[in-house]
Formats: sequence, structure tokens, C-alpha cells
Amino acid sequence: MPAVCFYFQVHQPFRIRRFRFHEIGTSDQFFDDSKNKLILKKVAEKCYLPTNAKLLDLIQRWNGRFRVSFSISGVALEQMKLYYPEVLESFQRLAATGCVEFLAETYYHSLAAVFDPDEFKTQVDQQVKAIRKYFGQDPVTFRNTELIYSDPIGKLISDLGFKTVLAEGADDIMAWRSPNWVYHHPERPELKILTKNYRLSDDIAFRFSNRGWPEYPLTAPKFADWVHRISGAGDVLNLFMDYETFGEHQWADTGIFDFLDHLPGEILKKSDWVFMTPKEVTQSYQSRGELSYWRQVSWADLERDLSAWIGNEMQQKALHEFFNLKNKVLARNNPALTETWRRLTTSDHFYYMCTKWFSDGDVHAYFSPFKSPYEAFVSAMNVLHSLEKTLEQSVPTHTEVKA
Amino acid sequence: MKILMLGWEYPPHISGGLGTACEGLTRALAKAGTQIHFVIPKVFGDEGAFHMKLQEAGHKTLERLNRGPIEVRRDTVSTQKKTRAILKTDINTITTIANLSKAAQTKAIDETSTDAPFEFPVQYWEIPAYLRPYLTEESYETWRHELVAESARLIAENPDQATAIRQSFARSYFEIESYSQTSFNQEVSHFQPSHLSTETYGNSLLNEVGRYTLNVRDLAQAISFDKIHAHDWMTYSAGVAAKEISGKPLICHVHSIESDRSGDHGNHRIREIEKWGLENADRIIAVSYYTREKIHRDYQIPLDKIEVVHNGVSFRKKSHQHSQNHQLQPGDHKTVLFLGRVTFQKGPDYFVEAARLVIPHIPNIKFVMVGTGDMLPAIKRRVTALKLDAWFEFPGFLSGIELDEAFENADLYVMPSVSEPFGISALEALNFDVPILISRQSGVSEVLAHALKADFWDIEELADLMIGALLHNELRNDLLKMAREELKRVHWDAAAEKTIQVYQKT
Repeated sequence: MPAVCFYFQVHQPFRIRRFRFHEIGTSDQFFDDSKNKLILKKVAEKCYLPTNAKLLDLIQRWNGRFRVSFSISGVALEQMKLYYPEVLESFQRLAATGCVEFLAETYYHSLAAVFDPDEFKTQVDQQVKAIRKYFGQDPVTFRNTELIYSDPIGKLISDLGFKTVLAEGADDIMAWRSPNWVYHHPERPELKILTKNYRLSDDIAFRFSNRGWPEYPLTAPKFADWVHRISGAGDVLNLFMDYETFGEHQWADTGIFDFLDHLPGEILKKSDWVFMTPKEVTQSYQSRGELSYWRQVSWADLERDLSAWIGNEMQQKALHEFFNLKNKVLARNNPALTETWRRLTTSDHFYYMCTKWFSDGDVHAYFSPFKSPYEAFVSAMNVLHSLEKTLEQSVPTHTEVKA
Repeated sequence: MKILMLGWEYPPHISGGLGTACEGLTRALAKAGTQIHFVIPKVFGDEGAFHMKLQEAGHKTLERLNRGPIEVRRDTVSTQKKTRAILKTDINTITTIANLSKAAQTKAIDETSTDAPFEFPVQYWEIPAYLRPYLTEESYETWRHELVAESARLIAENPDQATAIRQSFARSYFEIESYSQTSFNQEVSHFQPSHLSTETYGNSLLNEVGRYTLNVRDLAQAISFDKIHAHDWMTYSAGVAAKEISGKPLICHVHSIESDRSGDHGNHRIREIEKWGLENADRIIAVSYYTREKIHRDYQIPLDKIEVVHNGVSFRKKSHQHSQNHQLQPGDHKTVLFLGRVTFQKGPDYFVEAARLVIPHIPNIKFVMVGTGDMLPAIKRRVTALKLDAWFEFPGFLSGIELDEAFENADLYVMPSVSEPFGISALEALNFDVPILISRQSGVSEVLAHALKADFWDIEELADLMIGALLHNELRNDLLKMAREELKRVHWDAAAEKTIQVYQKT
């Protein structure tokens, strides 16, 4: 009885604004409140609200047979609460169906797992509390920022008590293996690994509206047929993607909502197929063997590595300087200051500095609020120096964080 | 395909980017199998353009017009006066010459064999400073002097028209020095005739243009070719003349237009020639989308007639020798380089204002402004007024090894151009591993994503990016690493390929 396991990522960073050098030490307004509000509203209306309504409809229509999972970063939850409470409420309605699992991640969608294991633990704790508070669930499944995962990160996750982790089914990691089985950590057999089937996931997330793709147009019966071919060759099909796929990356007029509407019915036409959340998958299926992530893997780009965040000198400098500031910040024992610093650890700030494909006007440029990776870097460093300047002052200043 | 190509200059005898661009483009075109007959006003003999036929538009016609070589100007004032009278020309002349039938043209030339001056329908006063296509290495101080000298002389010769002369000169004078009319009048009235040297007499560019047109017209009759390709306004009338006599299509290649060079107060005759030439072209090549848009805006040329062919880069080898007494000592300070004509077009004033914001934050800094131009005196005054002399250097116009060293010693190249059709010097800076900060109002910003960019008027942004680049080696390294990759795609072969496509559809 094979299962389809949907996981959707929801995340919105507190974007920093174009902060100029002359403002260092004179302004604590690091974040672009109006832009953040605007983007959240736009994405909410194009994606979160209509897709949540569709999922709720599907869950009710299929009487619990359709199930999905979400990871919503803490900073995204916070912005929903701040700028668009109806969005948060619609996620809570989904939680109330009992058919939706909420996963754990770092509250700030940061790279702490790579740079600072202690900070990682703190940010995960904070996220677990938020999930408990908003959705009444105790997460047992973990997914790290951008699906960044490696054997050492697996140990950290296992130490925190999680039973399941989500990871990218990168070719070099999988080697001869299929992503459609459950695996486990080589040193911590109790930690199960669900690997993303990136071909089928990306057929929806990236190729759905691509007219140059030989399979265009992708219909629910066609996709369900591909899914059904897995029968006998796997226990679980892991379809992991950004939630913004629905309505934002693939606009409504591409037919993505129709596709979503018909997909559960088409998949459930074969009566041996079911939908499961990650927790249910690991409860239902045995691990087929150990799987070592001998390198750091992410779900980004063709490289499936961390080069989009730490690939150039600017990113490395910025990341190290931001994380190096931690002890000074924590020593102030000022919650608002700590919160500001943590918001600055969000991975997106460093992603905007990615230069590798900038000239092609690709996905990196598309999602950046800055005109170039260089502007992103200069702004972030100016913010950092402003924060440093605050920390040099002998009398602690109480930086206000808008709440 | 055989191309009659009309140019104004060719390396190593160049005053701006035009000659360099012509060299790069013709080499790549020749490599792709295009036969080029390249005509320039003067061949010096050391051009080394073995990839094409290089031909001089000779002195013959001018001699027939003048009944004497061009050096006649160095003789007596009375001869000069006659020469000026004969050669006084303007848009009407050039278009007239271009439109003359061969017989009429011969007649016009024959008429000059009498002592009667060659009559042109419109009289105007020559303004030397304006008659250069690109104002580069010339000293503008000298030019100002020339301007005053020339107006004083004309007033002395034509006292009854003193007011008209003053008026027509004063505007140019303001452009150069932003002085008041009063100070101009004072300077003219105090001008001593003894200063009047034949050396200061400016070259009349429009005369050269007229002469070139006649020669190209003669040539176009004598040789066979498939298309005519004319570079910038100086060659457009020749292009039209060649088109009329041969019936072959004309492609005008715009490296810059008058509003790029002189803002809204450009020379109206040049504007007219430009407009007329572009209207008569069968197709136009612009060096950037930025220029394409400006051609459309300034001259109402339909956009579908204008193709964009970005310039390429042909890097020369860096000199690793050092001259004995170079002015720019590499030190522990950071060096920001401005390099180009110090004219309004290049935004030198924005450079100074941005520098003023940077200095308080990075005291160990030098702003080096290489080049000369009409705004240089005003810029120096501004720097002094801001008490920033200690942070600025003005080495003047540099070439050869000194120029290379200026690039080599720079940590950042800044091009805050108000209007820049392309801006090849920014690519040159990259060739010397100097990261660049360029204005968004430049053609080169269309081909380079990996550059710091700002709107030229946003001095806070310019200052912030300068500080960011100077404080963080990481940013400079990333910028250069990516730009080097990007530059590999910006080569002349690509430009030639597009140009050939334009030939084929024209």
C-alpha cells in the first residue's frame, strides 16, 4: 500500500531594507516593514488563502483520505500574525482537520545547523513552541532550512528527539537507491529519512507551466499515471515543494489549482494508493537501509548543495560576521536586541548575495528584493556594523522591535 | 560581401572610443569573411590594418577648393581669412554637396578656380571649440583662449556685426566655463591682438566633413561594393552621397549622438546633420538600447529601423613595465579612479559630491580624476571650496604606460556618467582587475550584470557602494571573478555576427 507524502514549505523572511552606510549608528530600522507587509499580502492572496481553501475542500471531500504536511517558519507565522491574521487562521483550520502534520525547522529559517549547533537548538526549540501554540501539535518530524542535511546535522536532529527527517534525494547521495523507500541515519538508526523524489516534485513545482517541456500540459490523470507506475517499486512518493508553487510560482491561469483539485481523486483511483504525512509514513514503513549524507545537501539548484548561500566570499564573510556577533548580543540580555539579531540570521539575507547565476536573471534575481547581490551584501554589512556599533556602547540601548 | 565603410579615425590616431570600436569591429568582420574598404580623412601609415583596404579621403578636392594645401592657414592672416570664407560651411552646404549632381559638383569646384569666394547659402561664425566630434585630450584652457581669440578677431574684422558675433560665441563660452556674459564681454574687450597667433586658430570640423563627403562621393563612383556602413555623424553626409551615387543601401552606426556629447545644448548644425543622415539611412545600428532609445527620442526615428549591436572588447596586453616617474604612487591608501573627459556627460560633479560623503568614513583614500575637459576648472574649484584638495589628484590626460598605471593602482573605477552610449573604459578597468561602479545610464550596464550600479544623480547610493567596495575585499573579489566570466561573452565576434545579420537584411 504505497503512499503519496506531500510536504509544503511556507516561509517569508523579515527582509532588510537598502540600509546605507551613513545610517550606521543612527537608525535601528533594519527591516523593510512596508515591503514585507506588501509581499506577505500579495503571496497570501495569490497562494496561501486560495490554496488553503482548496486543501480544506479536498480534505473534507475525501473524508480524511487526503493528507498533507507543512513546515511554516516562525518568521512567516509572525508576519502572518502581524500583517494578515486571516492567513494564520486558515492554516489553523487546516490543523483542526487532523489531516495535516506540522513539521519542525529553525524558527528563523537560518543556517544555524551549519554554523552554530547551540543556536540551532535554540531556534528549533522556539519553532516547536510556536507550532504547539498555533497548531496544538508536538512536531516529531524535522526539515531543515532549504532541506539542508548531512550526517552530522542528522545527529543534531536526532539529539533533539525527532524521529523523522526530510532530505533531498540527490543523485550522488542516492546512487543506485530509489528515493521511494524509507531510509535511516547510518549512526542513529532511530532517525528515519524521507527523501524527496525531485523528478516528480519538480514536474509540478518547476515544469508545470513550461510550454517547452515535452510533457506539457501536465494533467492530473497523467501525473497520477506516473505515480501509479511506482507501485511495487517503492513505499512512498515524497513530493516536497515550496507552497508558493500554487498560485505564485505557477499562476492560477496555468491551471495549477484545477490540477490540485483533481490530483487526489486521480491518485486514489488505484485503491492501494493512500496519502500520508511524514509521521505516518515512518510509522507504517520499515527502513530499507542506512543512507549516509556524506556531504551537505540542499534542495537548491542543480548542484543540490549550499553554494547558493555560502558560495562566494561575500556570503562567507557576512555569515561568519553575523554568527560571530552572537555572544555579544546575548550578553546584553535584551530580548528585542536578540530577536533583531536572530531575524538577521535568516538564510534569505545571504541567498540574496548569491552571484553564481545573477547574470542570467534567474531564480536568485527573481526572488531578491535587491537590485544586485552586491547591494544585498552592502546593505547587510551596513546593518551588521550598525548593530555592532550599538553593542559597543557602554550603556545598552533597547532596540525596539516592532511586534 | 563588400562593404564601403566610412570612419573618422583609426588606431593609433584616435581621440575617443570610435577608432577603437572601428578596429575591433572591422577585424571581427574581416575574420567572418567581409571585405571592407575603409575610408578615413587621413591615413598616417602606421595603422597596421592589414585586414582591410584602408583609404584616405585625400587632399585633392580641398586643394582645388583652396588652391593650396591645408597648411595655408599657417600663413598670413589675410590668407586665413580667405580660407575661412571659402570653407565656411554648414549643414546646408554639406547636404547641398551631397545632393549635387556630379556636374554641379564639378562646376562648384571649378568656380573656385576664380578668385570669387565659394558662396554658401547660409553664413555662420565658426566656433572652434564646438567643431570637434569628441572632446578628449585637448586642453580646454587653450580652447577657451581660442574661443576668445577667434571672436575678438572676427569682431575686429567685422565691427558692424560685433553683437551677433558676441552672441553666437558667448553661448559656447558659457558651456565651457559657465562664466557670465559680462565676464565674457570683459575678456573679449581686454583681448590683446598680440595674442593672436595662427596656432590658436581652431580646426574647422565641418570643413573637413564637407571635404570628406566630396571625396567619398568620388570614390563611390570608382569602386564596387554592396553596402555602405558609416560611423557617426561626421561620415553620414558622405554615406548619403555614396548611397545616391551608387544606389546601395546605407547603414548608419551610432556610437554617440549630439545630446550624449553636449546635453540639450548641442551644436544645432551637428544635430541637423545627424538627423538628416539617420533619416536617409536604410538602417541604423546603435551601440546600446540606451542609445537606440535616445535616437528615437531626439530624432523621431522609428524604433524598428534601429538595431542594437553592443561593442565588444579587445583587450590589449597590460604593460608590466613601470615608467620612471609615475605620478600615481601606490600606497596604503585606497584609490578611486575617475577616467574620462571631464565634461557634463561623464558626471564628474557627481563623482566629487559622492567623494565628499565617502571621505569622512575612509580618510585613507585618494580620488584620482584622470582626463581633461570643459568642466575641469569648475571641478577643481569645487574640490577646493569643499576643502578636499588633500584627497584629490588631477593628473590630466594620460596615455600609454601612465594610463595603465592609473588603472593598476586603482581599487575601484567609478563611471558616474549622465549619458553614456557605451562606456568602453569601464571594460578596460575590468581588464586591469579593477572592479567598476557604473551609472545605470550607460550602455555598458546593459552587457554587464556584475558591476556595481547606481543612478548617476543618487550620490548617496554612489557613496554607499564606494564605501562598501572599498571596505570589503570580498565584494571586490566576487565582483571581479564574475565580471571576468561575463566579459568572455562580450567579444567582437558576437558584434560582427550581429552586424552581418544587419547587412543581410538591409
